[in-house]
Amino acid sequence: MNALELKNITKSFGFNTILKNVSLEVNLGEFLVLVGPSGCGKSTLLRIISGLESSSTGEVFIGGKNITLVEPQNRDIAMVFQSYALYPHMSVYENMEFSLKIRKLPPVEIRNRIHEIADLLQMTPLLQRKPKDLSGGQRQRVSLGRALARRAPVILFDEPLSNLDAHLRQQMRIEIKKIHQIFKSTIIYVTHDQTEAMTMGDRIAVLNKGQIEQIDSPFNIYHSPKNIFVANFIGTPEMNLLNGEMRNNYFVHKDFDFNISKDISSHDVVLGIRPENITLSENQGIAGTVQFFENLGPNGLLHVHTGNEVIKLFIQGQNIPKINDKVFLNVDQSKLKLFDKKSGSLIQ
Amino acid sequence: MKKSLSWFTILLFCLFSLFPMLYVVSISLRGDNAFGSRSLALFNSQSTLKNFSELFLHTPFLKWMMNSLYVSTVVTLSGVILAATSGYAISRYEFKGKKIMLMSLLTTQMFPATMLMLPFFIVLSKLHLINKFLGLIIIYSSTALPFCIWQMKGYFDTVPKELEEAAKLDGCSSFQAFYKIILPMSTPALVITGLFSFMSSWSEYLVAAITLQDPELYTLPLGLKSFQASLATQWGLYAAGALVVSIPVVVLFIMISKYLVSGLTVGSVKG
Repeated sequence: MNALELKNITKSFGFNTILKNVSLEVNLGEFLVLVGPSGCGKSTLLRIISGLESSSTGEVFIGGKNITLVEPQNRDIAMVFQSYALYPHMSVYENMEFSLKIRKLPPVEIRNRIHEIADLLQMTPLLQRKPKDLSGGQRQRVSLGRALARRAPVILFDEPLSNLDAHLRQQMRIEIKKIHQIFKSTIIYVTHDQTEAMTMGDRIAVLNKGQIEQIDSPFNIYHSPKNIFVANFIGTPEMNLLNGEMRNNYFVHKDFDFNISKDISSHDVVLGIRPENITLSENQGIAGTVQFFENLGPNGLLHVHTGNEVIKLFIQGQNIPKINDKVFLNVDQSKLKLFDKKSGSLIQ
Repeated sequence: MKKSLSWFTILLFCLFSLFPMLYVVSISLRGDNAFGSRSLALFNSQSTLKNFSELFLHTPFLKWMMNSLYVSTVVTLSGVILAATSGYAISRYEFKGKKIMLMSLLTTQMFPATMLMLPFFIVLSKLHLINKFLGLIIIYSSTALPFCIWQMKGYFDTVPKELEEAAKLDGCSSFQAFYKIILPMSTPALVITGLFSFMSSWSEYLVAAITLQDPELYTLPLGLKSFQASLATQWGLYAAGALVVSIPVVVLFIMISKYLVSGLTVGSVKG
């Protein structure tokens, strides 16, 4: 049985449609990440699942039960908010205790649960503190602890790490993933950060303009994007997308052309190639001039200007070409993707 | 130099503010019931507490105080409860006529009290509420409430909605989220609202004068006024009464001063 199912969810605010016919199934114990650019409707979808927002049409099922019209307090869903949403007049202990008290759990059970979670999240010394006495990372940890103490079958995360600094974000990513492995709760995690999506999700759903573009494993999303949007959105830096035409198995670009051993019927295509699948060559391939070099630490990102296009590729080692040097680029043909220019869909 | 100048200015203003009060203290301690004096001394060899003992033992001052306390307490409680619930509803919910209602509430504050005397009197007499505390309470509440509602609405607007949403997902109904989460963290606004309601009824004279004619029902301002006669005003009693009247307000201020700090929502959400 699915832990959660969404059937044809549509949400409109006046004439503005935020979600268009979204259907989704989340397996029991799965970590599903909803990722997409700002304003794509991912948070609205999460709020519809939680019951804080109602859908214009469509149905929400949890454990096979239709909960579309059920109030949020009766859905048995926990949520971790982007802004923490901790009760300021209560201590950390009271924040975690609140939902359990409302549900009239025995005091011994409440105490045991809170101490178990506090130990796990290393929050025991903080239990008597008020939220104002905590750092951003500690507050988010409390917010997470509050959700976990509930032991709700479904936990929703609404961009929980976006207010933390990069180092803390990375730490919390690992912690959340570890906790998921311990508790095996079904998690729906909203983020606009595709690194978070790639590192945390069992599956990723990429949303754009209120529609799901692709749902798949992080590996498939990265290596086999279904369309130009997914190819462009997932990956840092993004995939190189080159507009061109197919003529007799040749990809013809304004600045260059090369043979592609693929039988393509489309005429106008977009060629996609990730920066790690391009290498520098001695004297053959796409000719260009080095425009810029970004030092990323273990490697670097070279920006090569080919005339009308800028192609990005990763390079390693000491021999970094200088700005304005002439270089040649070799494309790994087995890794390139061709998209139909008109529909944006993957051809091959 | 600059700092000394600031201190000197502050001191000057403090003295300026304190002088009338000290003058009242000095009148209350004099035994001659006189208003004027040739001396600026606060105490002298003839200083006495006779006016205070007379106030409590030979006038119905305690009765007036109980009347004022009763009226003010009811007005404060009803004001806080009604302002908190309606301010919350206005802040959080969208309904037809909301803007018009808010503007109407504001408009009621634009009429001077004297202009409303006659309509108030007519309404109260038609409802047979003249010479009854209920009449006074209704008027005090209705005049203080619009400001209190605006004040509470303004405060609730600053409380992040995520807190109620978190409470709902924790298992609270809308009302539970209000009284278990939002209300306890609204103490500063509730205190200010309560204080405003209390003050507006504790020291009010004009409405009380047209509503209460029976001396048994007099509130403190009416009682104090009764010390004033056309030929012989009892200034000593008057001053002693005025000082005693101000004590509950001062005590109230001191008691609630710890709540009069902003920032109770600090730490609840990011920022």
